[in-house]
Amino acid sequence: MKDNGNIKMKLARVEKGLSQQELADLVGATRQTIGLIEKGKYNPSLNLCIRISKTLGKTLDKLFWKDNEDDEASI
Amino acid sequence: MMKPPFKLDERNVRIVHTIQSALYSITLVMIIGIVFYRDWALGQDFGEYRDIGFVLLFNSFFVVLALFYFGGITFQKLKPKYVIGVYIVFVLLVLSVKCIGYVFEQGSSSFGEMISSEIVIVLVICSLFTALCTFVAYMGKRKAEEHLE
Repeated sequence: MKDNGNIKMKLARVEKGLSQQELADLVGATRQTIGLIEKGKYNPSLNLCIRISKTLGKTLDKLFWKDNEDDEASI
Repeated sequence: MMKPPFKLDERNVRIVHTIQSALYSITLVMIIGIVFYRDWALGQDFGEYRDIGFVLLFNSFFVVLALFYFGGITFQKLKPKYVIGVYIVFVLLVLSVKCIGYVFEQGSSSFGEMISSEIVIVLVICSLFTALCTFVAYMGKRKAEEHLE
């Protein structure tokens, strides 16, 4: 099954009107890291997840929780 | 304000650490290869590669002790059977290296003589190192439990 990556985080970022670079600067990461997280190719640490959640104004589970079996299989 | 030319985030640091540890392992294996080659193939005395020997010895000791201290190898409880197990592993490791060395040297002395003349030294050194590892593992465990409290 194709992994769609972290679409919730991407949507939240776009909703906030931030580019990947701007979000990266705000959370102290690089643009590549944000891109990889959104693609589902990198598992961030809990600290980075919290910083991203706070910056985007969402809770951790809203951004990072995978709620169906297909998503879990792709972890 | 000028941006720094490059920035390291957690992913970069993780990649750097992975590369560093892989290269460290490769370097260590290569140094071991050099020591064995000099000893067995070239037949050099220890004095001729003492510097490399000490670097290797320091590194090996440091890696094993650091693994015990920082929790790379963790015991739920420090039971005597684990200590004996570690001791047996050390003894077998040293004896196997000695045996491989004997295969290369061939004929300098009989295998039995070689073992009997060096077994006491091997057992004593392994005992000391096992005792040190046990102490370091105990200290590491104590440190980890202090953090828990």
